[in-house]
Amino acid sequence: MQLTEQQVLALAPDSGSAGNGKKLAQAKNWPTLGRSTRALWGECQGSGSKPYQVRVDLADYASKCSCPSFKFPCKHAIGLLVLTANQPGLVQENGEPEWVGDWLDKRGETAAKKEAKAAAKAEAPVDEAAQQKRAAKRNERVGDGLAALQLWLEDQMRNGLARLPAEGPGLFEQQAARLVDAQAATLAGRVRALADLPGGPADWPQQLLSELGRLALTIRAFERIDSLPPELQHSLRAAVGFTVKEEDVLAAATPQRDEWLVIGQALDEDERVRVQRSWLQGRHSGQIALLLQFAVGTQPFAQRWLPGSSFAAELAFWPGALPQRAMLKGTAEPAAAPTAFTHRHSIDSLLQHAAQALASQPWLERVALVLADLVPVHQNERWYAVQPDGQALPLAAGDYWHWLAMGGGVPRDTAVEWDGHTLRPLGWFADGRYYPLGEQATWNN
Amino acid sequence: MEQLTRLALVGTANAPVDAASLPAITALLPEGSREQRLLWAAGADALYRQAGQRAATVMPASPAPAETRRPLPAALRPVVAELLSGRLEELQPWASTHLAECGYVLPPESLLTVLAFNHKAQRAAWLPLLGERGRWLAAQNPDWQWVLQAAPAPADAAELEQQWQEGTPAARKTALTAQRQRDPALARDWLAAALPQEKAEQRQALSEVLADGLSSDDEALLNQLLGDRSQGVRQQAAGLLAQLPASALAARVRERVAACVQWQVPDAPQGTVAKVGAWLSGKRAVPALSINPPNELPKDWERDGILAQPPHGTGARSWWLAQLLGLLPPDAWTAPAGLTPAELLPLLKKQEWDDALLDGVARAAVRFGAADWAAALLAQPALLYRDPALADALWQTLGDEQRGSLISNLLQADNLDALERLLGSRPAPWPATWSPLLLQTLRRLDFLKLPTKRLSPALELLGMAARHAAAGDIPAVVQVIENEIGQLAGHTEWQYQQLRSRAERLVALARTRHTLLQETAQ
Repeated sequence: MQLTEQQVLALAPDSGSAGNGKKLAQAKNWPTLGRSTRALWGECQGSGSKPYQVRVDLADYASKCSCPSFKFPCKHAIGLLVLTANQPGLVQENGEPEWVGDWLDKRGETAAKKEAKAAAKAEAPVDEAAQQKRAAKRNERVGDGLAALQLWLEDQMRNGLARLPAEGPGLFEQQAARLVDAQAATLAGRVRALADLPGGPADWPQQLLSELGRLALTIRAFERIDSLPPELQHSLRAAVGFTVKEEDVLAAATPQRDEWLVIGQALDEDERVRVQRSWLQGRHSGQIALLLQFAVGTQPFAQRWLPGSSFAAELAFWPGALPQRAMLKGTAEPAAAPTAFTHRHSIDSLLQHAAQALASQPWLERVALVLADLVPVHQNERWYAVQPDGQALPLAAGDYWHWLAMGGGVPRDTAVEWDGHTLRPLGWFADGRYYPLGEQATWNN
Repeated sequence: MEQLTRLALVGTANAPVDAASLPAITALLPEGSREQRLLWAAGADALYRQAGQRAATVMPASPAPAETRRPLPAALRPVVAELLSGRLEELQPWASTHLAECGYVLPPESLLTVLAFNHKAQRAAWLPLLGERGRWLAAQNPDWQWVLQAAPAPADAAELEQQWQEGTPAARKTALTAQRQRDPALARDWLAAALPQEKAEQRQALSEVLADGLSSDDEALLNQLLGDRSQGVRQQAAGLLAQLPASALAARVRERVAACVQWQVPDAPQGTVAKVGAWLSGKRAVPALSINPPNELPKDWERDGILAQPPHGTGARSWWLAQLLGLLPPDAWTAPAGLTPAELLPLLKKQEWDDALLDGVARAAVRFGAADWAAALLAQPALLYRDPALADALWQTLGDEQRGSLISNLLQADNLDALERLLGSRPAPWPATWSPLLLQTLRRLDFLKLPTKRLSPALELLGMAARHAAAGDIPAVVQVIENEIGQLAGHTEWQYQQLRSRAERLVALARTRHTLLQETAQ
């Protein structure tokens, strides 16, 4: 287990927990420390007389602590992980105490029960007629919503975009709300995202027109959805806002077993919802999988995927022309700690890959993969990700000094997200250790 | 796409002609209204462009050079992170200096915090810890130029001269300082040649370099600076000339002092300083000084850097006198009389112009590095209150032993207030002999019996012990503080509660310091 402090801090729910956890990561606070093949534990001397008992499951880095904190993971769990990352010699292999073994066993049982429940539900008889009726009704509503969107788009074309900066964001928000009512939530999100564009960046008219045009193409495709191949139908329905329930994914998909490396993690948040994207890559297959998690407000995410760690498991993929989104089937088992990425690309090959992906699934929002030998370069007030031969792509708006400081300008294999316009770096390996590059990476200061 | 965008901006209702798209797209467009065709063409064009995106070309810079200093041990990383986060702020100056002296370099994740520092002293203390990586980073961000300016002067003679000719003001001073150490005469020539083109501020900053390795060879240039337009430059030159006993200015100073300060010894009409010793040993009446500074500031005094305008609250004549005495080597008082400063000082205090006398002697003690005078002056706590900056300068001239006995005296006199003022902000670690002294006093202290107004100085004393005690004494310091905390525990009055939380913080501080010392000792 070769953890880095930065990697572990990516688990912290906020910068306060990260800071407090780091403070606790000193040997003097931990009278007892130990680890086994499946867990890590320690007793942390707090202000009370009884030390807090902290345990971490090494398969998925779930943790439990006897402290009363409602933060998850709490500062003690983070402290234990940071200490393990910085001074692994202090944590010796040892027999699991009862309070560790019991907890692990209980976790295993809960997971098994959940799976049995899902299986039982899948086998339960379904009222097909009622289901079809519901589906038809929903199709109709969405169809009406999209027809209204098409008229709205044409209005914008007729009257011209030049007046929009004066109109304000309300125009887009209203249209987005109508799409929500029509149960086309994904399209609603895309329309809402346009609200701040008019009058914004210098090339806003072109950006806006591109997006409106792509919306129109989506509507046109949906009008003719029956003529599309079945996989593409799934992708299109997802792009409009139809969802597939997790149990249906589990029931329908052929799961793919592999050793999955969490190549990186990205977090997007607006006022209400936080969306976490964990990108995995199969060690043997090279398959990329996206695990999406949503949380409201400051609620923690249900599952923790430690970037740069690896686990063996079966993943079930959502249906579509280019299956990407996936979920865990069953439980994960810890795998040998990865020391490097397994599949790497040049920037040219990333662009080729992205073009091919768009050709088979034109509604694809982004792809993720590992670029070989990348360094950030600050030039003329802009940041680029650069390979040694000079191939470069612009980085998403942000501050990359932290990346530059950590990397020292040495080219490293780096996991990235590419949305067709800018790159977002996720993390890299150096000397067998993983360094995340998300927002959490800066908690370190 | 440009044509499509132009059409969309204006609106199809306001433009009669359709815009052209790529032929491949136009050929595929189905029938539809003008608005529909514009939307579809734009959507397809956007997809085309996204799919056909090409890489830009940017050449990467060379990576950071390898570090030459030692990496920070893992056990110290959380401690350093805590220090850099601003907690335990008062430990920062000492800790950064100590870590730098141990030859460490910060881990990369801490560099950005240090690069963002604004405070001059803080920057200087952490600078060596930035290492190669930090300097490499700083070269890429204009906000971090201070790191490069503070770089040491190059060893190569040609590079040094280039830095002197072309560098920033700070870099030029660095180059001149380095040259002064290698070849004082050449440095003087550089300076003399450059001075006419410099601004007053820079003239003063650069000529300050002459203080290093000062010799009578510098007198000609300093005399020239004495005629400078800038008052600051004149004053500085006078200060340096005064340190050259054979200089004309030093002779003028001696004459002027002799003219306006004379010992009045009743039985000895010669009335010179030399006779005072005899009077003292004879235990006769207190010898008096006849002091008579000029009523108008003479022009030649002003030329020698004496400022005409006194600070608020000081009389003009007194001010001139103090400045003049500040240029006189202090052994001009002691040597002829055969007395120690400690013996002579009480005499000076009994004179009519005592403030000006003490002020002048103190300035002289600093200027001429007279440690015996500094020790005697600092034993007068009044000085600490009147002019903290001067007191600080005096303290700097003392050796460890003198500092130790000074502290010991103040401790014995229970003068905690004076101690706090003297030692409160000093980052230097204490010599091993001091901690036991202080601990002795601290063990005697009982917070509950102290009058309220003495609580704060007493706590400050504990803080000093926590910050400065030698490594081996820290556990004892922690024990003393924890005893006090224990005593305070039962008292709920706010002043005791506040005291307790401050004391708890001191324990944390002492422990962190202990960790730091232990880990760096390995």
